[in-house]
Amino acid sequence: MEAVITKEENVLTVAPRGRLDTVNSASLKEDIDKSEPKGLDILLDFTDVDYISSAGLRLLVALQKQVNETGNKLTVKNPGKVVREVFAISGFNKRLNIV
Amino acid sequence: MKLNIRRKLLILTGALSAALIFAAVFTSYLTFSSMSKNDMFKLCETTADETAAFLKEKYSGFFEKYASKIMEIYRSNVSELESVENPYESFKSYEERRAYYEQLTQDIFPATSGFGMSYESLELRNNYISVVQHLDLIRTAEQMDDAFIFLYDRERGNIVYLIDSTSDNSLTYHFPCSIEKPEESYRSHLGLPEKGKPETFFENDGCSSVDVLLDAEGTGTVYVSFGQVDERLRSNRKWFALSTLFIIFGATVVLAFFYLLFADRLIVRNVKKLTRATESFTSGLNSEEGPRLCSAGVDSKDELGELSRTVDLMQTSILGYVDTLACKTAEEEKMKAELDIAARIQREALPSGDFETDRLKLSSFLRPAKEVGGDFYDYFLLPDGRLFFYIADVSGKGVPAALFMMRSKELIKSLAASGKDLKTLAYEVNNALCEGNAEGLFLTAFFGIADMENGRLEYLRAGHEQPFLKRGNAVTRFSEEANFIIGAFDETTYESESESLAEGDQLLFFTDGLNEGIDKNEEAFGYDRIRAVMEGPSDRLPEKLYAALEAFTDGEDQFDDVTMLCLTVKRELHFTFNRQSYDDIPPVLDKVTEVLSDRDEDCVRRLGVILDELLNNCISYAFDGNPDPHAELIVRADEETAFIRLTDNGIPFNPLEYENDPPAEVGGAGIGIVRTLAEKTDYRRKNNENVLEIRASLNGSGPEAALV
Repeated sequence: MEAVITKEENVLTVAPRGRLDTVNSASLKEDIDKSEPKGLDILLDFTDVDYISSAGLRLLVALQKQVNETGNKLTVKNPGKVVREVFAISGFNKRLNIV
Repeated sequence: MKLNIRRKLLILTGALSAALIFAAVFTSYLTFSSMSKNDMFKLCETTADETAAFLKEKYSGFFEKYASKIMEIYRSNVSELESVENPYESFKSYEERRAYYEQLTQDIFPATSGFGMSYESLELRNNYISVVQHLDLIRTAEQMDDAFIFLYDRERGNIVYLIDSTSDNSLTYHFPCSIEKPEESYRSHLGLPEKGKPETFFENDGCSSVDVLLDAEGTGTVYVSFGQVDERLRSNRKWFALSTLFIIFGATVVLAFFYLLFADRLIVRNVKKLTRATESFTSGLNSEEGPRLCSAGVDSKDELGELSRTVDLMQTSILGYVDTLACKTAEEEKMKAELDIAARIQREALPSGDFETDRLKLSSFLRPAKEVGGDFYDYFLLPDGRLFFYIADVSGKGVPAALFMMRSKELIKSLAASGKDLKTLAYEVNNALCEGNAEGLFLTAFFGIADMENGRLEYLRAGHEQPFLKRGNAVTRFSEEANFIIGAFDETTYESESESLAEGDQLLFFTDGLNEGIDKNEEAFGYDRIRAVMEGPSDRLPEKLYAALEAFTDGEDQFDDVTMLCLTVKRELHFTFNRQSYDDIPPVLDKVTEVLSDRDEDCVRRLGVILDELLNNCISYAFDGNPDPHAELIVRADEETAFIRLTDNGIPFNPLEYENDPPAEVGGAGIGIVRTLAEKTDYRRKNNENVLEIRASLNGSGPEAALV
């Protein structure tokens, strides 16, 4: 999974590109873990994400739990139309902080 | 003021009567006037003539003596007489004047009478009295206004009166020896004695006739004169005019009254009857009850009676016409309804909607013209699984074309179902249609048999428009080589051709109603516009073409049926999975995205989500603990939808059952997402395999409801 990850003060910005499907979600999780996100707010820039499947949703659940432990925040930024549809269908739009 | 006939007649009759009265009275008056004047003239003349004759015979001696005596007195007193008589006013009264003349003529008429008188005086006096009495008698009898005898002094122009028969007590009484100087005009009538006939003439105030009694040296000329004054005439005329006026006026009024009465009965009443009859007939025409005969009933033998009969005749004709019209309208409506039914039966005889096999999709489109048209098409699977289809156009329109079309359709269907190849089919259809085709109808057609086993289309084009083919982004047309039309000449032979079919190919078959649709400038839609539409997005092609045609013709009437068949060769992707590895998923998603790169991006993304969920599910569960895992995925796409079939050999498992379960963990949410994004989902267990079939839209706008 191609993703641009930048760390800035206490915010970890992750900008994945393409599909957040079964395989890519797993690799993106690894990439984020490598960036030592503990104690940081996570900003997911979904501008270039084509779509997300339930595997991607699992990743979001895992990240949300992770930030909750340290009292940090998870934010999803600028999701596309199909991503928003999936969020809506799965009820994630009510649980996630989407901007 | 409204001038109806009655009023006009009244005015006209009044005016005519007045004119008539005036003319009659005037003419009678003139005639009467002239006649009475003439009578007056003759009366005066006759009276003078007869009297003169009588007096000459009886009293000539007396007149000689008497005239010469008066002449004597006149001559000796002429200047005094002239001065006292002109004017009469020299005398204060009648008595004074009488005294004067008695004095003057006392020698002739002595004041003493009886025994003292000489015989001569007595005789003269007696004769004088008898002449006076005689004249008086004649004057009264003949209604003369004056009668007197006088001398005329031609030298001095004086009349010297001898006898005046009037017993007038006025100042102007002509005493014997009184004189008068008459007007020149009067004097001119006092002619010479040899005339022998009285001189009669009109004066200012009447008519006079004078005749000579005596003409002698000593006496001068003695005349007798009778006269009538106009006054009498005038009162006669006035009386006559009044009585004539009264009689003629009375007669005219009575006549006019009867005339008006007659005219009213003859004309006005009948005209009113006619008007009423026509009015009630007209109101009947416009009423709901409908028209009925309203006879005027004028049975006179004149023109109005004729008119009345003609009006009756006209009403009868109109009633007949109205009846016929009603019948015709009803017939026409019935016929129109039957034609509508025929058109509906004809349309319903054609299959509608889309026809699909695994590999092909055939969409049909027909917009009939107002009149029953001759376009038709049909398609069905042959027993060997090939798809037979055709599109055709019967020459002409209306019921003949529709009947010919139905006949052709049944013929083609039975021949095609019996497995004939296209050449034979066309040949036999042609021969059959040529039989008993007196109307000379024919059809153009494009027949096709699509065989997806070898990916070929066998076709036969009989005078029909060649189809368009869209392959990739290129739009081309089939070759122009064509067979002859069908139904014209029997024993015509036909040749078929073939073309290869590739995945994603789109073929458009159409009738000339499409390319020959015209706008208000009579410009045809044409092939280039069809091509331009086809070069755009390729979903729902017939609808897009028709919309383009409608926009082009911009409300102009559609003269011909617009019929289209669109054959799409679906794109098909096959994937096989034999191991439990998620790494097999990305290549599937990549390939699908690549093949459908010309489609709506979001639709393809939704398809990606569905495929990822299904494959994830299959690999996670169906392959779990499966010693020989196997799954097959087929993705077929036409222009509008994608069809997915996933077959696996795992334990029986219907993921769709878990749809409504709350997602205990996130993995359960996947099926819910699939259900929402897909148009249709279906699961079955077949041959110990799970078969999951999903249909997803390739041109929809997504699950809008989910975003609310």
